[in-house]
Formats: sequence, C-alpha cells, structure tokens
Amino acid sequence: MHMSRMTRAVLLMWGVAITVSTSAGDTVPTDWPALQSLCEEAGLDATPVREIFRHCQRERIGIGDAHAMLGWAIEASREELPARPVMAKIVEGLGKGVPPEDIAEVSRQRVRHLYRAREIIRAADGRLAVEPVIVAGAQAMESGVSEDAVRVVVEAGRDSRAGDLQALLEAGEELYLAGFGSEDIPPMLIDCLQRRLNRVELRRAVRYACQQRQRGMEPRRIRQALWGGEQGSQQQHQNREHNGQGGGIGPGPGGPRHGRGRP
Amino acid sequence: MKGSKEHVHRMLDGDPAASAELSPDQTEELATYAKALRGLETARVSVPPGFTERVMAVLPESIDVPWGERIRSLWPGQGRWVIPAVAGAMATVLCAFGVPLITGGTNRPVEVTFELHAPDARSVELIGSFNGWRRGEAALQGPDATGHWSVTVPLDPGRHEYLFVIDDRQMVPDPSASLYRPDGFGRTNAVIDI
Repeated sequence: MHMSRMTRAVLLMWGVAITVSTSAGDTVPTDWPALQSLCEEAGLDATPVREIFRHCQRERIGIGDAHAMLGWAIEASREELPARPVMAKIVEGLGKGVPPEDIAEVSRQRVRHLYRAREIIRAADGRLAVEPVIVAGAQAMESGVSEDAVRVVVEAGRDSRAGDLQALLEAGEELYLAGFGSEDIPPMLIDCLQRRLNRVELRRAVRYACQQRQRGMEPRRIRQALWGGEQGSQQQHQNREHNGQGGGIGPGPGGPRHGRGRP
Repeated sequence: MKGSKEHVHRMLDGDPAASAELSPDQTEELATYAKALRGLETARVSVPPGFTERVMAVLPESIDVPWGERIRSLWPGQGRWVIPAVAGAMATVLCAFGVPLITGGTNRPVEVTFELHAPDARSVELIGSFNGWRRGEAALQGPDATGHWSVTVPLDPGRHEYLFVIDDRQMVPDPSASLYRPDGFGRTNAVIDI
C-alpha cells in the first residue's frame, strides 16, 4: 500500500496517542460492573455491549480480555467515531469463536480505518462526514482498497449527496473484491460520476464490471465495453440526455446471480 | 287596531292590564292568531307520496367546484388548517421514527431465502451480521431430495455478511454469493446487498 511520509507520520502519531490514552487513561476494570460503567460513560449502545458481555461470560473470557476488545469501541466513541461497527466486529469475532486478542487487534484496525476515512472525507467536505459514509470508506480500506484510491473517489464525489458517496465507496470496495486493482477503481467510478448514474445504474454498472473482471477481462477493456470508448461514450451520454432518457447504461449485467430476495 | 303596537309590547312584557284593555273583537282576533301560532309550532306536515324521490332526481350528483376553489378551501383561512396540519403530522412521524434520509429507500424487511447444497450434512445453520452471528437462530431445513438445505429470513435493506455453519463446526461462505469480503480473522464472509 502506497502511503506518503506525511500519512505515515500522522498514522503513527495517532496510533501512539490512542495507545497511550487507552493504556494510561483507563485503568483496567476489575469487575464487569466497572467495565459496564466505562461503556456507559463512553455512550456505547447498550444492546451490543450486553451481547458482548453475554458472549464473554459464556465463553469464560476474562475481564482483561473483554476490556482489551471493548476498549477500542470506547476509544472510537470518545473520538466521536462510529462505535457500532467496532462492536459489530467484536460480536462477529466472538460468534465465530475467535481468540479475544485477535478480536482486539481487528477492532484496533477498524478504528484506525474509521479514523482515516473520516479524515479523508472531512478534508473533501465536512458535511459528508456522516456515519454511513465514514463506515463505507473504512470498509473499503479494510477490504484492501488503498487510502489514495479512497481519497481520489471522495474528492471526485465531493459534490454528491452523502448517500451517493456512500454508494460510490461501496462500489469501489465491490470492484476491488472482484479483482480490480486500487489504481483501476477511481477511473471506473469517475466514469460513473461523469455520467451522473443514479444508484441503481451505478450498481448495474459495477455488477457488470465485476462479472467481466471475474471472467478475466482487463479493467481498461471493461470500461471500453461499458462506455464504448471515451468519444463514443460522451456521444452516447449526450444523445441520452438529448432524448430525455435517463435510465440504462451500456450492456446489462447479464442477469444477477441471485434475484432480490434470493441469494 | 289603535295603539296595538304599544299593547303588544305591554303584553309581551307580561302586563296583565294590557289584555284587559283590548276590545272583545281584538281579544277574539288575538286568540285566533295565538291558536294559529301554536299550530305552526306543533304541526307535523306530511309530504305527498314520491316527494323525496322527485326532489332527489332533480338534484345534481356533484357540485362542480373549480379546483382552485377547492385548494384554496384547504389552505389557512376560513378557519381551515388541513394542509399545514397534515404536513406537520408527517414531519413529526418522520422525525419520531428516524426515517433514513441518506439511504432514501424504504426500511421494510425483505424475505430472503438462503440455500446450500450439502447432501451429507447433518445440520446447517445461518449466522450473520443480521442476527449478531448467533447460533441456534436460523437453522436451514433439509436436505431435500436433491441435497439442498434452505431457510428464509427477513432482512433489512442494506449490506449484510453471513456464513453457513455445517454440522455445528465448519463455517463456510455461501458458494452462490456474488460478493465475498475478508473478515479480518482469516476467513471470508459472503455478502448480500438488499
């Protein structure tokens, strides 16, 4: 993953700050009520906290391990980051029987990605830094999309509404998971932005691109297949606008592998 | 009747002397009027047969009020507050139930059927982000004659991750999912978008 020196420095400083604050600021609670109080003080949602407590007590996980995991959710909340996805990861790990130390590490990484995603989005437009967008950006990075690619997509979509930017970031992650490189994602999504695709059209385009990629087609050729080359695509776009047709983009996705309501 | 106006006023005021001042003719005339008045107050007038049907037949089915007039009649004025009241009620409901403004769509759960082909399995379970990855909540039924297991669950719109648990120990992602995501713990989750 390419990272500028500045980015590395910021990440390092932030990591150190969080480590210091969690290790020095909070003494490890010695009993469950004390840990619960910590969670309540941090404003964590009570339902997942109860779920985590139940899991811990059933699996005989000690208070120290529980604090190591929940400490990251507490930290996220204190940093005004979305804490729900952190707790969801803890619940997932516990449900799968993952050792607490691994859950704590994955939670730490999730908090880091949430923090970075929020910084990138805030830099583009602070109004877009709402939970669903931050989570979509963080999950894209968690899946492996580079921070630079996320930044380019966010910059390109800064004039979008929050829901549209969220859809764009989710599309980026989907492309990556289907085999696109991080460097291929921004051009593909900027194509979609320039054509002002709505969310349904974006989804269709991404599905088509993913299917073609999984069949081995190169990203450049997929874009050509979708838009028919730069000139052609611009002309098609103009014609579509001229004809007053807003819907439909290039070839269809060839039918979903599962319809709505049936995976 | 000379001075009748004054007489009437005095009589209405309840002056008994006023009646005494009336001549016998006037008294008789007054009695006639009083009787007619009582008759009007208590009379039950019967209408001829078919009267109602004839009236209804000539009435128009609807009164043609111009649309502009109708809309104006809903707006404040004339003591009516229909549109502001409805708008206010809708805004209250939207705020109270936290309707998602970002996703824009409806939040109704969708029935989703998950299937797995596992003819040799003794049990198959579905766990995922939608049920807190809890065991024992969504057992698949099966196998059918073709070795398929299935379960239908309601899912909220959005992106969900899930796995199948075979024979209570082996976790596998759905082989028919269109998207998979690494879970960070060394496994891969299947992903479904609703």
